[in-house]
Amino acid sequence: MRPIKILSLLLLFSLELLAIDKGNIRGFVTDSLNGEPISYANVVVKGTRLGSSSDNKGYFFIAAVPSGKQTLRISYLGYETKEIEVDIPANEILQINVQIVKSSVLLKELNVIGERSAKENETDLGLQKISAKDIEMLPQSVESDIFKVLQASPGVSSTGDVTSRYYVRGGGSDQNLLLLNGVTIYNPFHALGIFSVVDPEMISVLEFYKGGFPSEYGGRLSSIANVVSKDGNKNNYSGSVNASFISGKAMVEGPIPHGSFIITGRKSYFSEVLKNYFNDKKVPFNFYDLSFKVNYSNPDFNNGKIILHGFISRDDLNNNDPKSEDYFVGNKLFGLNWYQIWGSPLMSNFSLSYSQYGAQVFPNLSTAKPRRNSVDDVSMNFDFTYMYQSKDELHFGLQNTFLSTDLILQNLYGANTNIASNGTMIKGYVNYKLYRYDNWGFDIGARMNFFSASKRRPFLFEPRINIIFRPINTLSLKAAIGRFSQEIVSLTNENELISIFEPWTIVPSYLDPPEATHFILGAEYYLNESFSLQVEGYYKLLSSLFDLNPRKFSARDYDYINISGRAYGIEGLIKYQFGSVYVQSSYTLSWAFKENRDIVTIPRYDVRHSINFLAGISLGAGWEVNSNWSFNSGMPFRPIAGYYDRLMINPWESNYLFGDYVPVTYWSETNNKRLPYYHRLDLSISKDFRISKADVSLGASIINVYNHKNVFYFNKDSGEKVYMLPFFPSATLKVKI
Amino acid sequence: MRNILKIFILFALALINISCEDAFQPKEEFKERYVLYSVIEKDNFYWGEQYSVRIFRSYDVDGYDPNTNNIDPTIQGAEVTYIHNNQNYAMEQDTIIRQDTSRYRGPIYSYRTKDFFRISPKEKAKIIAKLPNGTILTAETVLPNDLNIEYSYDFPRGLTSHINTSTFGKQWTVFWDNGEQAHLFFPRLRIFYQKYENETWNNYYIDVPSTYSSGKPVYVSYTFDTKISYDFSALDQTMRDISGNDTAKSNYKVVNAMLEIRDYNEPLSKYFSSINGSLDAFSVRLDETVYSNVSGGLGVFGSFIKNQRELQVDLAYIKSFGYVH
Repeated sequence: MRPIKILSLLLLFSLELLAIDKGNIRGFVTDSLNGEPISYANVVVKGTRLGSSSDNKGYFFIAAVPSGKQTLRISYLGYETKEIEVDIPANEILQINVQIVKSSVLLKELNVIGERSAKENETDLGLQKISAKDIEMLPQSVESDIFKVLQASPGVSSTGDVTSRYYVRGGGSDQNLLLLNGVTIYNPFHALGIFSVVDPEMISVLEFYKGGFPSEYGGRLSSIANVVSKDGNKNNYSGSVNASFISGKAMVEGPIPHGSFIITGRKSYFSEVLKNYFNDKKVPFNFYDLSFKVNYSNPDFNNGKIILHGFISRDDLNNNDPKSEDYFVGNKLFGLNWYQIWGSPLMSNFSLSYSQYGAQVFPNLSTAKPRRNSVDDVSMNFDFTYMYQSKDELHFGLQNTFLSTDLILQNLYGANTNIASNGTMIKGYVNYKLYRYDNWGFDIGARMNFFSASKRRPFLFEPRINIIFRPINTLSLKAAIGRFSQEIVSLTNENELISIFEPWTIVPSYLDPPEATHFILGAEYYLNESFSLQVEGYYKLLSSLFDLNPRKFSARDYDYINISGRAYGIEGLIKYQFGSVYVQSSYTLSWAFKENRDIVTIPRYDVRHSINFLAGISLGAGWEVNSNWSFNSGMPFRPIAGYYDRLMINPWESNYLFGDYVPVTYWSETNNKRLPYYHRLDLSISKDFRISKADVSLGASIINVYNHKNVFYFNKDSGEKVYMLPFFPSATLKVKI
Repeated sequence: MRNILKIFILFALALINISCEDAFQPKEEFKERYVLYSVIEKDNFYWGEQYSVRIFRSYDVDGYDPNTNNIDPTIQGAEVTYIHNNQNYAMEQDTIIRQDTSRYRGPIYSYRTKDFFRISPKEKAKIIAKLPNGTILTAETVLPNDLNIEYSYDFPRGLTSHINTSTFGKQWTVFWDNGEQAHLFFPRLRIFYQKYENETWNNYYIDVPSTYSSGKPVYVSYTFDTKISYDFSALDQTMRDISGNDTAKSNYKVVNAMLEIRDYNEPLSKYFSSINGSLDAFSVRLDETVYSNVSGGLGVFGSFIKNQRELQVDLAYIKSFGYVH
């Protein structure tokens, strides 16, 4: 009964603040051409300090607006600012849907920074909102990739050019959650991790939390990347095709009665380019992905919207040789969402989803070890947002997940693992966002795991606090503290730079679930629309982390062991725009450690210094040039301590001791040296133009312009250095009708 | 224009400069480490034996190709003791002539027990090696247990495919058990035959594959499983392969068959698996974890037992191919 009482009190509390001569405004901001929701558009009441930003569904709500005639100003980068007159009735909610017009394709200026969020005291520490424009700006190798964009963020590192796997603020790669419309994607990579399965063409917006994420999110220790896909064109049928050196893509979208649909597909057709990425030049890859989204919003629903979406991806590696292994990995994901905006300023979201992941190594007649993994995830979530007259917000919900994992494998010692596990997770969260004060913002919440899949810790409590203080109008000081847990982990070998098999399993009953505590401090200086500076420092304590048991010699030995870790660092980001030139520069200084039985090691993704410099210029007439320069400390590695003669055994011989010996490397301690500094300059140029009714975009990119030999690793048998991507030109063509 | 050209040249030179590879040394300062190997080999007949140990030091080379080292890294002058049933057996240095002198030229040095003695299944043995510089290497091993072998069909008149396959199946399966886990087994079924050539009967043998896949024979190289199945069709094909296209079938005499299962104890199984197996060919791993049960260094002290069963081959079956017995 207690939660209901608290909720009632909170709702009553809001009514007390209801001013008599004030009303509320709510509605959706959409694109005038295709009806797509515009996320993070600013909606302000002109001449007042009242305003809001649209959420990732394009929805906005402005409370306590003086009744009578007012002017709303709606703006978003890349769109023409719109002003509309509204008449706000007292004590009522005015529903208004706004369509804004995209700037002309040929005349548009490069506009990246845009306005400051109208929600000035929003507690968004650690949140990065990435739009399709941000993805376009980064020069691409063979495919534009959302993960490459994430890797360019301060505090995010990777272990090489040839992998999209990313590490956030000293956390392992399995501590990052990727959501597609709120549903977990367990295998987010194509082609052994070279790029993301999420086609940038389908993205409306990507919300990326690097830490301190609000209590509605959980299940991972380090980061949340929530991809919201496009709804599809509500006004006209259209389609596009896109060709790169490796894959072909197609997209069709259009209206349906009271809604719209979009279907995107991508298929690899030419794996030759991938040879640049691998030491093994025979990589018979084949992959595809397919997504669809249908949304329906009947006026009789009274601001309700139903969305059905799905996503399928699959990678195959078929050698067509009985003496070589074959491999597959795939995702299947389906979701149903029902958004409803109720008569009161209450919004609800009910979602039902199914996410399946499968991976298998078929050894055939090779010496490869048989391995198989599957995950079945059925989730049902109820999320509510109540917006008070005082501008405060209350978010609460219940999230239920049934998880089933199955893992069968054999390690190099021949030890077998067979873990079949399932569990039900019931989590509740509540989050009160105090936005009523102009200079302060508080976000206080907690996430309660009432039932956990983890047997050792059936109840988990995760408090989260975010604070923002604005001592002056142009400066925001922010702080966050939170506790996070994870109940499904990936058995990732950190010393595998490229991995064919990364299985997921529920935390075994003999170990505690991994937990983390984040402490974050930040400041944001926003001088004007042309200049902003952000600084964030973090300290992350990690406990009960998972690592492979290096001494699993038999089936009865445990597969995992618990270790601990910590990470800390400071990140700075400057954004500057003058005229048609945009510059973004970031620097990160960070440390990461793992600790197992008092032995402290540095993980491979520990990058001490990282500098990223992104610049773009719009030359007019549809021409745009972008560049990105990255500079990182070298990755830690395990050096060679010498060589020794290893006894090789021919099992059918006798007197093994006097048989064959092969000279091999004697390895030193783990990661006690670093590779040389990494740096690389990428350039891209694109030209947008129209041919008849088609919008055509032609692009060319060069990766590693000055062909710096960045060491990826050195061959453990020969000591030979293997380099990352060399000078590498590529081109893309996109036609949209 | 001249200034622009200068700037361009400077920029190009800067690019050329930074495109060069940075100095990088993947080695740390060399420090000598030690490796010990010993493997006890036994067959069904537990005769007394002498046991050997080999000890090496690690070494460094200029560059990264260890094959360029031609200084024998064997350690001589160590005090090595074999311990069995609480008895200490001092080992003495021994040399044998090196056949392959492509890397090292001198004799092969090892340590060998002076006495012949017998270690039985399930018994433990220990090695203690005190190196000339005082470093001590120790290792223990336990011999595998006796193997209990059973067949899915006992062939009262010898090996044949001429049985009721609807009752006994299309495969002949050999099961074994030694009550232990994590053992690697090497099964082999071999048919011995003679061929009449130049007025004499010469001895040959042929191995029976477990099956044929896409027309190619499949031999099980090693398995952690405790059984192996041989397709009767694979047995038939092997019998045909004895003579191949030779039409003079009576020039072939099938003598018998031998089933051999080599049972590696746990340390040897793990060592063999870790140096021969691969998880897959595409993942890129930076290091390797080779099993070792040697304390103070690397290497392995393992053991295995050869379990052999002689099998007769059914006379009628032999004759069905035109061979003699």
